[in-house]
Amino acid sequence: MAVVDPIKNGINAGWDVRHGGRLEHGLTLEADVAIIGTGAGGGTAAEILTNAGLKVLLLEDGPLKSSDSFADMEEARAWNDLYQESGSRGTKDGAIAIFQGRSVGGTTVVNWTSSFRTPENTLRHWGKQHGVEGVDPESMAPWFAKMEERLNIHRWPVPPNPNNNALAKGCETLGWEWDIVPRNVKGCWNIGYCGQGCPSNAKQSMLVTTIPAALEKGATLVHNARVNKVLHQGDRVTALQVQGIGEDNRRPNGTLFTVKARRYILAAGAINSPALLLHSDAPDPSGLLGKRTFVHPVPVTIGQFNTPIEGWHGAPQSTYSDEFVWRDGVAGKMGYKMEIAPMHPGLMSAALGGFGETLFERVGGLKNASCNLALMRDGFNEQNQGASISVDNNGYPIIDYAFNDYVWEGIKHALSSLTEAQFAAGATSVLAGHLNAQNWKSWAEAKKGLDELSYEAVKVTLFSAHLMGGCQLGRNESEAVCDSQGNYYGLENLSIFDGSLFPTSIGANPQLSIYGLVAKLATQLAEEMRSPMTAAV
Amino acid sequence: MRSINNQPHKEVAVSGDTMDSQTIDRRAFLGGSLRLGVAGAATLSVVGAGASLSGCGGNAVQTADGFSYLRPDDVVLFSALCPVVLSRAAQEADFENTVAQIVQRIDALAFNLDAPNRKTVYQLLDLLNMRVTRWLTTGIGANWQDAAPEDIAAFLAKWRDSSIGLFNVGYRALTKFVSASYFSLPDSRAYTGYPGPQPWALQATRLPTPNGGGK
Repeated sequence: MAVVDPIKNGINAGWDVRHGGRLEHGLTLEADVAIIGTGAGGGTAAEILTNAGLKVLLLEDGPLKSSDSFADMEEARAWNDLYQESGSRGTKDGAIAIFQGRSVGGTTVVNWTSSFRTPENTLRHWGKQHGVEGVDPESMAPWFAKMEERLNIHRWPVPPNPNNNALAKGCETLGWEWDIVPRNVKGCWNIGYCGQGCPSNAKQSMLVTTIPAALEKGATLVHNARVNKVLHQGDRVTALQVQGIGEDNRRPNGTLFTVKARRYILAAGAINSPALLLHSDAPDPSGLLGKRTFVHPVPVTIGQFNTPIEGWHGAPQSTYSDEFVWRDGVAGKMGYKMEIAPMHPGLMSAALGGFGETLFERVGGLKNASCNLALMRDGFNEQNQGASISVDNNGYPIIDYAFNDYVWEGIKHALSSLTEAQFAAGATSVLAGHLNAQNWKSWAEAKKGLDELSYEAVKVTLFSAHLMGGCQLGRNESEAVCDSQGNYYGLENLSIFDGSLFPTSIGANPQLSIYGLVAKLATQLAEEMRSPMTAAV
Repeated sequence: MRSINNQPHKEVAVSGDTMDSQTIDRRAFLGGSLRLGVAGAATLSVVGAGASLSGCGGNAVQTADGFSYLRPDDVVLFSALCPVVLSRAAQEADFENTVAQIVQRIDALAFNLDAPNRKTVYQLLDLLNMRVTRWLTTGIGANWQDAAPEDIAAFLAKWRDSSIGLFNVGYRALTKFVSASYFSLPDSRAYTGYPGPQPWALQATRLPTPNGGGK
C-alpha cells in the first residue's frame, strides 16, 4: 500500500502551519497557550489543551519533516534533518554521545518505539525522596492507560528479529528474566527504520498523532522558530522572544517575532528547557535549574555469532531484561535495563570504533553481530547527581556529566552482564565498547579482560538517547524547580511539561513516562484555565 | 600509561607553562570550549592558546571553496586521514571521489553542530594544522598532504592509547567524523554486508499516491 504523507495532506487541507524564518519581522502572535517544543511533552499537551477549547500555539526550533522525506531510510539524511547537532551532541568532556531529536515531533520521530510505564519503584521513590505528589503508581495508572490507548501501545506480537532474540536466548540460558517490549506502532512493517523517521507512519509519534489532531482543531504550529528568551517581569512571563530559523534549518536568519499568551508551557526537553531558562535569567529560587540532569548512560557490547543476525532489519527493540535494574535496591548500586541496538553501519561504526584494518574487520562482521546495551539508571543514589547544564553567551547548552567510582562500578557491572548474555546466547566473540578493548573469545577470557580495562570518561564508549531532569518536580521551592503540577516555582504563568521534570532517571525508555505525566498535568491545567476565576486573569 | 614520559605531549605541558605566562587567556579556551576533555585540560589549554596567538583561532574564518565550515587546511587534513582510517576502501580506483564525498559530509556535520561544539572542533583542527603543535602532539612535522600514512596511523594509535583524556576525545572525534560519514554511504556496503533497506519497502514508500489513497 502506498504511503500518504499526513502532514502534507493536512497542510493542503488548511492547517495553520508556518515557517518561523519566513514570518514578517517584528510580528506578534497571540494565543491562550504557547507551547515551546513539539516532542513527547509538547505534543501531548497540545492535543489536550486544544481539545479543552483553548487556542494553542506550538513553537518548534527544528524543521517540519514528514514521511515523504523519510522514504530513503538513510542514516545520514536522518542525522542531518532530525537530530540535535546532526546526532553529534555530546557532553562537555566528550564522554557521552547524545542522540536527541530536533524536528516537529521531537525525539518521538526518531526513537525506537519502546514504550514502558514508569516503573513503580521509580514513582514511589519520587514520592518518598522528592516529595512529589500525585505520582504514586495508582494515581498514574489511568494516565498511562489513556496514552497507551491514544498511541496504540501494545506488546509487540511479531517474533523478535535475531538481534533481539539473542538477548532473549542469553537471558533464558542464564535464568535471567526477560520480556517483550511494548511498542507505539500501528500497522508496523517490521522493517527496522524507526531511528531514521518512520517511512510508513506506523510509529505513533507526536508527528502523526497529537500534533495533527491539535492542528485539525485549530492549533497553530510555527516550526523553524527558536525561542531565544523567555521575557519576564516580577513573577510573570510577559512574552517570548523568538528567532526565525533560516532555510538551512539550523541558524537564525535575522527574523525576530514575539509571542504572547495567557499561559506558557516549556517542553523543549531536558537540556534545552533548562538551557532556555538559564539564558533568560529566569528566577531560580532553588538554584537547581539545570542541575540533576540524567541521561541513562549507555555502554554497549557487540557479540559475533556463527549465524546471520542482520540486525539492521526488523523492529529495533523487541526484547529486554530487567534482571539487574534493581540489583541493589532502588537507591543502592546503579542498576540497569538491558536492551538491543539496531545494526545500521553508520551508527555501528561509531559503536565499534577503531581505524584501518581493525575498523574493517569489525564492520565486516556486522551481518553476524548483535549489539547489547544497558540503560544505566542514574540519579537514585546521592553519589550520582548526573549532569549540570550551563549555557554559552548565545544560549547554547553545555552538558557536564559527573563521573565517579559509583558510576563506574555500575557501568563495569553492566558491561559484564551484557558480555555474559552474549556468550550465553552463543556468541563466538564479544567486543566491549571501550577504546582499548580487544575481541574476547570466551566468557572466561572476557571476565579477565573486563578487570583489565580502565573505567574512565572517554575511554568507555557511552551513548545516551534519554534526557531527563534539570527542572525537577518537588515539594517546595528550595528543593525543586517545579511543583507537583509542573508549575515553575520562579514564574507563576509558566509550566514545564517534559522529561526535564523527572527528579531522577526512569530506569526504562522514557517516552511513555513523559506522555503519562504530561497528560495528567495538562489536563489539570486545562481545567484551571477554563474555570472562570483564572480565565479572567 | 607506561610510555607517558616518552610522549611528546608531555613536553607540550612543560613548554606550555612558559607560553601561558605570556598573554594567554586560558579561561577563554577552557571555559569556551572544553568539550574535548578534562584530564588533559591544562595541556591543551596551552595548545589552544598557541592557536589563538598564531591567529588561527581568530574570528574571521575563511572556509574552503564549496564548504560551509571546513577551512582549506582542514580539507587537506581530513583528506589525509581518509585513506588511513578507511584503509581497505583506499585501494579502490575511485577513492578520490569517495574522499570528496566524505569531506563534504564532515563539513555538513560540523556546520550543524551548536556553536560551542563548532568552536571546539576548530580548536582541535587548529592544533593539528599548526606545525609546532602538530609536531608536539602527533610527532608529525610534515604538512598533512606529505605525511606518511604509517605516521598518521601511529599518531592515531598514540592518541587512542594516551592516558590524557583530551587526546582520546580528539581520536574519537577524528575517526568518527570519517568512519560515520563513510559507513553511512551506500558505497561502503560491500565492506559491511548491509544490503540497504528492503527493496519492497523502498518501493512501497515511493509509490505515487493518486487522490491521496492507496494503489
